[in-house]
This record gives sequence, C-alpha cells and structure tokens, in this order.
Amino acid sequence: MDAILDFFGFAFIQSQLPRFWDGFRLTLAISGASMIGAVMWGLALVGPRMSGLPVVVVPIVAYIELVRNTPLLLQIYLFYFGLPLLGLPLSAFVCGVIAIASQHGAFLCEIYRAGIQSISRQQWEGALALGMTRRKAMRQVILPQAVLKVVPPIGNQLVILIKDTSLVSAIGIIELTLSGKMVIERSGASFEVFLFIAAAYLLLTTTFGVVLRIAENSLRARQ
Amino acid sequence: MNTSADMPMIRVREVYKSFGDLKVLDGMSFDVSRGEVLAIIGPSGSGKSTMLRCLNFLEEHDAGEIFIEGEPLGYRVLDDGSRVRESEAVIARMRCDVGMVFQSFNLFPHRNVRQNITMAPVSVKGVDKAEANDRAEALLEKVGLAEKADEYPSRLSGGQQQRVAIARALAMEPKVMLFDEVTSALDPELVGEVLTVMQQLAEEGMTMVIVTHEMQFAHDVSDRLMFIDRGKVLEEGNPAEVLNMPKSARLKDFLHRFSASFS
Repeated sequence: MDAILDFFGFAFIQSQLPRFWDGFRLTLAISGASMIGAVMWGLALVGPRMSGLPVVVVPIVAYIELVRNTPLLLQIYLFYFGLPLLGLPLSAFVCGVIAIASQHGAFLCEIYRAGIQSISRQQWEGALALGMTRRKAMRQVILPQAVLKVVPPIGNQLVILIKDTSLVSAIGIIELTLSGKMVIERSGASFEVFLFIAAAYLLLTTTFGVVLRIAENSLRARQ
Repeated sequence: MNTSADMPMIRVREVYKSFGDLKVLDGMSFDVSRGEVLAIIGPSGSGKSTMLRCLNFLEEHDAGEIFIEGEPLGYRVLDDGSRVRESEAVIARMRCDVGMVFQSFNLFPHRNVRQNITMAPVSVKGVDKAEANDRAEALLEKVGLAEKADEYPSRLSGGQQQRVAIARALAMEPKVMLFDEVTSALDPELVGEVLTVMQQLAEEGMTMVIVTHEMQFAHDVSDRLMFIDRGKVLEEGNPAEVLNMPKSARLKDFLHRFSASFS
C-alpha cells in the first residue's frame, strides 16, 4: 500500500494541495462564469438565427461558423492580445471567460436550434389553429418540448466547456492546469502531478454530469 | 350592404393556390351558411385538404378571397386590386373563430388532457383559469372522456385523442369547425366514436366543413356534399343525389371504388 502511494507521489501531492486548491477554485469560477455566459449567449443568438431575415441570419451564421471552426486557443489569444489594441484592456480572467462563452455559445445556439426544429410542424399548426401567435406557440408548445430534447446534448457541450477552461492557462491564469505545471517546473514530478490534475477534472465533470442528470429527471417528472 | 345575419359564414371566391408548378386549387368558389354541414370528398391530391387549410389560413391562398362572416381572411384586397397581408394578430384573432381538427390529432404531448383544452382559452382569450377548467370538464363530458382529464395524450387511444382534439377546438367557442380527414389515422374500430361526436355537433347546429373518405358518414351527416377534383368543384348538392346519381365520369369513377349505394 505504501509502495503504491509512494508511486503516485502521495506525500508530495499532499504537500502541494494548497496550490492545487487555488487553481481548482479558479477553474471552478471560470467554468461557472463561462457556462452562464455560453448558455445566455446561445439563447441570445438562436432567436435571430431562426428569424429568417437574411440581414440578421447571414452575419450570425458567419460568426458561428468562424468561432466553431477555429481553435479556441487562438480565440483566447485574440481577445487577450487584440482587445488592448482596440483600447479595451480587460483582465485575463474576463478575456478567457468571454472567449470560452463566445465559442461554446455558438455551439449551444446550434443545439437549441436543432431542438426547436425537431418539434414537428403539426405541433405548430395545432397551436396556431387555436389562435395562438407564433410567439405564444413557441413559448407554450414548442420550447417546453424542445428543452427536454436538448438537455443531454447541452450537458455534453458543457462538459467540453469545463475541459476547455484549461486553455486559459496560456494567458497566464493560474487555474488547475497551470497550477500543476508550476508545481512540476519546481519539482519535476510531472507524472504524479498530471495524474492528480486529471483526476481533479474527472471529479469536476462527473459531478457536473450527475447534477445534470438529476435536473433532467426532475424536468421530465414535472412535465 | 349585407347584415351579418344573411351573410354566409364562409365565402370562398375564385381561390387559387399552387405548390411550385403544381396547381392545387384552380379557382374554387363556394359558400357555407350558418349552421350548415358541408362535406368535401375527392381523390387524394384533389386539393380538398389544401382548401380546408386555407379556411383558417394555415395555407395561404395565392389569389382570390376568403371571408369568414364577411371579414376577409389573411389578405385585404385594395381598390386597385393589390392585396395586403393582415397582421399576425388579426390572423390569430380570426383563427379563434375557426376551430380545426387534424388527421394527426396534434395534441400537445407535454400537457395533460385538461391543460391541452384550457391552454388556448386562457392564454389567447384571457379566460379565467377556473372557468376554463370547468368548461374543459363539460367538454370532456360531452365527448365521453370525463375521466381522462388528468391523463397525458400518449396514454390515450387514437379515438380518444381525436375526441380530446375536438374538445380542445370547441373550448375556443368557434363559429365554424373544420375537420381534416379526422378518422383516417384511426383503427377501423375507433372510427365510430369520433364520428358519433361529430354527428352530435352537427345536430346541435355547429357550422362544419368536413373533408373525409367516409362516404356513408358524409351522406348521413352533411347538408351538402361537394366533390372536388384537380382543384375544382366538379359536383355539389344534396348528398344522396350527388352520391347516388353522379353526373361526371370522374365522380362515377371515384365512387366505384366504394361500390356501395348510400341510403
């Protein structure tokens, strides 16, 4: 037993826990802020995206394709090094959150759209024939059904988001990944530390997954 | 100027509609008077469902005019002959007067039977919730499903779902009811329960337009029967006469498939 603990550098990891804990908390904060931002940004995009007005749809589609098809790391750099040139020097934390929320919001917008479009035309017609406006039909008939369908894919997307927060280490935010790297640089214990960090991410994502499953079930039960 | 009393409930004048190159409605004109039950029959693809769907503007006609109690539906035609689309609010308000029942029921699966029935009266007409619930109970009683108020649509048979759909449409207190092949998706043994409800409605004096393949039912329940083919009215009149003494070769051909006499 001691040999195994020794192999994984247990004592050493334990001595570094306060550093990891700081990094973990920052990862938690970035994940939380980016998630809220991404979910809201996706919601803000999906209405105009589905409006059918070319003046609105074309720029939004262009934006979505751009951020979905270029690396998030590059986008983080662009916000961090580009915004000051435009006279908008924001903190690394804010830039990281904006970049992550921007890309994941674009993915979420497409997930929302797919969910809404998966509700059949008959449901629309049933609602419209009863004298509802499109707005009322959307709110009372289409969205409640679409929400249930998109909870699982939204969950997947947000798990990816949590893992993507490690990229903000590139602009000097000492979150979980960078806190590990810094410990490694001082100690050389790369295997032990990376393994520990991976376990911490796993804990975070699986906990999130369980919470989401519970939310989904209670949503289903209420309908 | 016509007063609303002698104005037909529905007036259709020279209505045209195409889907791409396919001409579906080719100058349809007819009236439906207050309290009248009109049955529309015809081969599939003849345009009968499209015509029905035009009557609550789920399908938008390309030309011609449709009036509900004298009020133009969907478009207003100006003096110079051009037409203006009505606002969404006006169209939605007119749909409150025109109830529709679909082949595929179109109940809302995320709401129970009672909520399906009360949703539109409460949110569209601002009916008090308790009052809407009372009315839903009464309507469910009427269609023979009083005990199903708390069930979800997926737990009902097709015939029961369709009867809920009828109750849901009636809850808006429409002036006209449109029925679009409402028994076509049902198992044969479930058709009767739906037709019984419709028969009862007709006897109560509801104005109804029924698109159907149930010839005997059309014969029994309708005041007037219309045979349409290729987007045109080919024959219309007393149901027994139209069905038993068809004049056109097309109608003879069509009725031949049902090979029964209607009495």
